Amino acid sequence: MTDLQIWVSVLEMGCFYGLIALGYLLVLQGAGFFNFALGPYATVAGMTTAWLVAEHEVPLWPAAFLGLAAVVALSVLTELVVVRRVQSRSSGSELPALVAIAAVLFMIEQSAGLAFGHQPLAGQSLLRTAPLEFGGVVVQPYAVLLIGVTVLVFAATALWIRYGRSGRLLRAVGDGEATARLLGLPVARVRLLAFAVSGVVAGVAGLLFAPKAGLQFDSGLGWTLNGFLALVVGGTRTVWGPLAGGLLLGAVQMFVPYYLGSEFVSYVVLGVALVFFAFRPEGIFVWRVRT
Amino acid sequence: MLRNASHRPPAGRATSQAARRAVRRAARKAIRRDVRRAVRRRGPRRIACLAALLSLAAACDSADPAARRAEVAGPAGEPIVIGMDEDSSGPGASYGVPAGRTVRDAVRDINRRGGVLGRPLKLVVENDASDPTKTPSVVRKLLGEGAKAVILSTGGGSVLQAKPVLQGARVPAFAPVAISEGAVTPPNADYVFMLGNPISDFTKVYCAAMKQAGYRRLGVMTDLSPTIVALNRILLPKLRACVDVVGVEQAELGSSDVTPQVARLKRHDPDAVFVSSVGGIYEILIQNKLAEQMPGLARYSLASIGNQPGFWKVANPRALDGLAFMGALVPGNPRAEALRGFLTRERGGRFEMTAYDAQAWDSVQLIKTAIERARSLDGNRLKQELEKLRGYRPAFGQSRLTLSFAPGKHIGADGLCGLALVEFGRGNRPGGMQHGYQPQCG
Amino acid sequence: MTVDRTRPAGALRRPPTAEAEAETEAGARAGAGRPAVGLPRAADRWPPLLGAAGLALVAAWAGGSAYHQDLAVLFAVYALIGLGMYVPFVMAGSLSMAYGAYAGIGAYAVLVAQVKLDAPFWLGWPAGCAVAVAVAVLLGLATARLSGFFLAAVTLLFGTAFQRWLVASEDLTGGASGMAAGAGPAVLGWHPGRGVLMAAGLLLVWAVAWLVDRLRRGAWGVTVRAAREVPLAVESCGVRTRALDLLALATGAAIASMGGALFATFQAGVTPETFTLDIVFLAVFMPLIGGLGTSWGAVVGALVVVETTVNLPVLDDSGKLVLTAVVLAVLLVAPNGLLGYLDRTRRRFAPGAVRGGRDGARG
Repeated sequence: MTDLQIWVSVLEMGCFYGLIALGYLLVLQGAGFFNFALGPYATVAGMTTAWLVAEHEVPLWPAAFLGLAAVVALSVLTELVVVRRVQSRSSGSELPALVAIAAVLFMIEQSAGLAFGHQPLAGQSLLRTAPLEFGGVVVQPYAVLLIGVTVLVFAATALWIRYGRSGRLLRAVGDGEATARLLGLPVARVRLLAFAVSGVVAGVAGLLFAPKAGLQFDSGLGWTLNGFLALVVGGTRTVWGPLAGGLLLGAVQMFVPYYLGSEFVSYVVLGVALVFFAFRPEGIFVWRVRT
Repeated sequence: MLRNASHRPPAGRATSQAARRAVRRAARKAIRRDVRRAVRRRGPRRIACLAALLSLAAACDSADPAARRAEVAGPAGEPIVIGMDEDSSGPGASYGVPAGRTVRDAVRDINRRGGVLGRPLKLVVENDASDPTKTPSVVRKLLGEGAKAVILSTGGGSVLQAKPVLQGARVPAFAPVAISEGAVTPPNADYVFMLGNPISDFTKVYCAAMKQAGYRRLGVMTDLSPTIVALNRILLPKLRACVDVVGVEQAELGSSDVTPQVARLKRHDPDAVFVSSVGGIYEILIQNKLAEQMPGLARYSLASIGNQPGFWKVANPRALDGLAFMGALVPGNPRAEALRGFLTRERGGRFEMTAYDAQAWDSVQLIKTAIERARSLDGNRLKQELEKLRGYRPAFGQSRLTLSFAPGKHIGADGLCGLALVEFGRGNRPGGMQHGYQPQCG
Repeated sequence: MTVDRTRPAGALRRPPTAEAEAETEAGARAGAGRPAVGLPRAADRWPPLLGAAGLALVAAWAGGSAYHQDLAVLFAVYALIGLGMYVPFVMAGSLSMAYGAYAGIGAYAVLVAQVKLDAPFWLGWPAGCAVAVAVAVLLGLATARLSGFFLAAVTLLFGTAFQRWLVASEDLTGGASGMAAGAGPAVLGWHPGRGVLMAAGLLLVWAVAWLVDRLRRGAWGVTVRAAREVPLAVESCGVRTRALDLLALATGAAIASMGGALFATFQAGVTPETFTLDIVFLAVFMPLIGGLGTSWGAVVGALVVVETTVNLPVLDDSGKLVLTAVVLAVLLVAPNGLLGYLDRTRRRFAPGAVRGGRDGARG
């Protein structure tokens, strides 16, 4: 039954990476830009909540709400203060925006270390029931919540993009910002909305994943990279692509250590990245990779 | 370059620090109240603003350098500088920080009682995050600030790197939380001292306990922190000598999931599992998974997990049940009880004492004793006095334990009774001595 | 050149070539419009002299204090990693973030030579350079089609995988606890003291910064930078831009590996966590802080980094945070970095030179 237990872990990791990748997709649609700060956003949501509950005895749900609010504020600030200004003057080159977002990523990590300490914090689980058990396979309560909410978030996003007014605007801007501007669409507002929504998604991801293994101020960089990889693997054609990519990446990260040993994970992940970035750019995703 | 405002009157400094702490406490309370109120009112703008405030308060709270580099006040006279390399942010922080806190309390207590040779002790603290490449610089900095003795409250790998610097400067050092005898074996070991039993003593206890319980097949789960990797080099061969080690699985610090590793261990069908880890959230992750996947299997661990009360409550319910760890805090030791009383008074409320507190406390007392006997601050003289110490009764270990040092014997514990196998009971709390084998003195 | 003033330029924006030249030259250019390549000019003389004076000041500050010497060497190590990053970043416009790995290779080479092969430490220096260059070329070939975010992500993943490899290859690297050399470095039986090693390290920084600056403004540098701006045009002149990029990456990797080797020589030890991803981020920031106009910007940036993250007592743990805030401010407000800002201030008080600076745009 051990193998089935690993599948549970694959689902957990996959849902988490999928959510981060969805955050990327939203910003990519709205602002044509990969928000590398998403990983640290997720950390901040989880850490703020854990810290408020553990150190300041704030009740769990208000603490979680504050954690999410902090992340949305961070995400919106990233757009208003940094990305918009740097992009507007870099005339199409993505290097300035990349360096700027790297600085933002590093800054959020360091602030988190300063505010919440450099030691890992245990995440707070929003669901505190007994674990479920099916024929020897154990599913912890946080995993139930993580998987359930992920499906809900993806379904809601798909519906929003398809039928919601602002969702369709998002797609319109994503198809061509200059054209959208010419058509008089509220580009700036749509971009801001994309950042805010992606902030919520990343925050939810961090909040629900935190009880699994705790979090540290610098967990975010790894999450940024894995989420990005999930996005590239899954593709940007549909909203569900990131989830597929996340699950695939989760499977790699769980089965490689099971069959080969734990040191091979980072080599295989690097290999997957090289292969997908370099050889499968078309078809799977539509954003430009090559120069 | 001196970080510490040594020219300021120490008393004033202490009061201002206390005042600052009080203000912070009040502010935190006020903020907490406000958050509750605001949340009740559900004013989103207010909450956002409060969130910002809170993070600000947190920043002030943990960043106050004066609080971390605690200087302590007391008798007049030129202070005697004691240096401490404290891992307060790395993988060793889970033991470095509690030990460091007790060192501060011990220094403050000594100063309140008139200091050493009529002079106050002054503690200067630096952090190496248990990064062995940073440690030499950190120790040099402490020495540059005038440290006459050093406390290495950091990882075992870092202690190894501190040795040549201390040897070159001829300044004695205690490694209260180190358990690898590498800290006191040559080369460059003339000035480093340890208190408790080293890892080779641990393995004697584990082997005897497993033999008595009839366990033959042992699975090992380990993390990959430098401290633990260095420790495993001593630990694993000795375990292999007494049981059949059927599998060794590794997990990086910061892993999110150890299901694959545990599944691999499970395939080997062990009688018992040994977890070699720096502790903290890393070990909780492992213990949660072991309890979930192999319920009822006997588990052994190093000392860390038993000394980290903050982490017991974040483990899954009953995940630590039956886990045996190497304790050094044994019921019935009167000095431990006295120290518990003192520290509870100092810190108030829900203080839970650990062996780190006891060993940190004893380290400071031994340094004080050595300075008093040497009537000098010369490193060589201090070392000689330390090597003459016999029969010191420490706050850790069984009540009969004594510490003695000699040239060539820089590990204090006389006999195995600095150790005790302690078992977690229900509710993820240590339930007392493990039934079955227990180490004896002599 | 007036464009430059009315529209504050992004640090890394990609304007038309002539404008870019003028802008990046801003830090170094003092005299009137002279040809870019060839003849000596004030800009060639002053930065190396000022740099030498600055490094001498650092050495004097360190003096006999062992801890200050540690800091001075750390500064030299950071400066070399920053200079290594500067070459492909500024010249070829590619943000490779594998520099922690290159520095690690340099450091491990020195210790493997001493500990595993029982060879003199200095053999590790060229060996480390060679391995770093080989790795950089291989990685460059594997990522030749990637740019921007994709390149950054892959190189970060490479850094992670390399660190994991160091931990796993216990026989070669000593595993997670790393390696330490018993004795200090020796050259033919002579054991140079810590002060000598520190001075040598600072001298190395000076030499590399000077060379990189010459390189940047020499024919090769101009070609590489032109290839960044208008690859097709350069390609059509018969230059293979791919080879140029690889050469830039290899040069950078060699310089960064020397930074690692310097650390290992001085501290006689290294672990997989010595050169973490943190250092990679700091290395990206260093040229930005100092200013992209000249390689000396990376050196100034390294000084700022060491001062804020390690030395300044008031900043303590918040040093890196303050530093990042500085970087963002530089990106948003002063895209030419500290040196660029100083240079502009200087020129403002010397009207003749201002005209010279303006005329300096390539004609």
